[in-house]
Amino acid sequence: MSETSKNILIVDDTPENITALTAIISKFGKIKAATSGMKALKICSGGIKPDLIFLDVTMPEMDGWEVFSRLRQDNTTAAIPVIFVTALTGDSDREKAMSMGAAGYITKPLDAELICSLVKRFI
Amino acid sequence: MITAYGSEEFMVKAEKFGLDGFLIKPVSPSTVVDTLMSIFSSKTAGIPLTLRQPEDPVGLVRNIRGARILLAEDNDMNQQVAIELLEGVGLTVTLAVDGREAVEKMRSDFHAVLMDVQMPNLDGYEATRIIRSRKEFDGIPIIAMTANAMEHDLVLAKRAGMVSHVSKPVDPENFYRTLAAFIIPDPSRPFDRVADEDTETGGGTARGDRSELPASLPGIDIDDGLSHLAGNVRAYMKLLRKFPGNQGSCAELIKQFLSRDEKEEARRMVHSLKSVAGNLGAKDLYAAAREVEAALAENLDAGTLIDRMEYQLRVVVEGLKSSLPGSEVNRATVAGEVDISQVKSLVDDLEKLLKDDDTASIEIIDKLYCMGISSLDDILSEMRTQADSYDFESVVEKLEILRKRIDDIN
Repeated sequence: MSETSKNILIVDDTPENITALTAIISKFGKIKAATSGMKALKICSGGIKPDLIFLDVTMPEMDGWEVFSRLRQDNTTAAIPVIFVTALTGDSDREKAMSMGAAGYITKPLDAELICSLVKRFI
Repeated sequence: MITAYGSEEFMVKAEKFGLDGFLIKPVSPSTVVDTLMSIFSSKTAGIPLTLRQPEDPVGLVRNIRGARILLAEDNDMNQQVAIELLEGVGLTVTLAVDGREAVEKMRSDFHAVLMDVQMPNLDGYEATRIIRSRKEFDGIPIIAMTANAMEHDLVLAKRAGMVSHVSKPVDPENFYRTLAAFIIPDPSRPFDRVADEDTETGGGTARGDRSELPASLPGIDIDDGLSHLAGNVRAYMKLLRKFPGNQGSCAELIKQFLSRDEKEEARRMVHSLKSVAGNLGAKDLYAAAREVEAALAENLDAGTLIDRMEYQLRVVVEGLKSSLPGSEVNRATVAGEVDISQVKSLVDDLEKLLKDDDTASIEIIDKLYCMGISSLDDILSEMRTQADSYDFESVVEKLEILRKRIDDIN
């Protein structure tokens, strides 16, 4: 079994999407949630860093790309693996995510099997 | 398409012509394979893995389930395919993204190494030579992953100390057969224990039971929806119940936004509707929302498409309203005997979780609500709504009032 002490942060402005993703990955550890980019950065600036982040791309005010680059600029959060989650389709976003150094890129509707194998890779 | 020009512009043009990939000259066997793999995996991404597997893949590797494999592969598509194949049959994978990392991550308790031969930093041959030079790794088979029928590669692989090879793109049956042939159960290096797939995904009480759901719902493919949530019936029911209230008036709102020329808002709303519908298995609505989103992105008139989406939305919402009536939780009917100290300790737990933005706080609020303490009904139901929207900060602000109300009970 997985260690339950692992922290996974889900960032998505649509609460239903957080609920759906939580349903898939809650068996891997403690799930934290943020509905905005600012909130996500605030959580990451705290003492306990997430072991893995699922980050929605399309969010108002601060989108996923911006959150990601801010995390990368801060030494204390730069190494946290980030998996982008998006309902956008098209290879350009996938390539953008990979070229930025993302740990993964998944699309909605969610593929539970793929997500679990991704999580196991990082936790 | 094969071209000697490596320019971005050319690639964009090639894609517009409907080509699936491009190779830049000089062509190496590895890039040919990587390109084929990326075409292969993007085309089959929507097909469940089980359809692509041979008849009984598990049978081929039954005796080595739980074996630990080091996978050294630099291409992310190839990684994903290999990991899905390996983990799909209960093998444990450690990933190395190049030869150098393969050497660093090598452990004496691995049962086999799968090594791409062409990798940056340190290639597979060199990495194999280094691993083979260390006594502690004696007896651990290293299997090359190479382009098929390149005799030259095979000779080099053997010479470096690899025992066999599998070809890329991976043929699952051959892949499993090779692994099964070279991984030998060894009591001094026991395999990991693998949970039985059936019991792991089966209907435990926390995840709920399929029988709690209606046999069918208009506009919704229930099995598809459940598959997106790894079979978690509880979470699925929760999302279904929330849908009419949260998304029911989406189409109307989108029209209003557009009439006020608030395009960004309209796009965001249809984007969100699309993702929620997709996860629920509301396939027609998902498809309709996707068309609206595409039209809005191109600044086209989406009027007819929005009408079609509105119709699909109504089908789903009306169906849910009539098929899923009643309350979602079983609340205690007798509020007579409530253990106040238990309530207080739950509230203490809740505070800790909320301040940690931990989603487990939602379950604690549900638990408190289900105790059926009438004087706490209104405040707990407000807190539930906020927590369901992951607005934990607003819930924290209510804690003080909640504590006061609890003190007033006696």
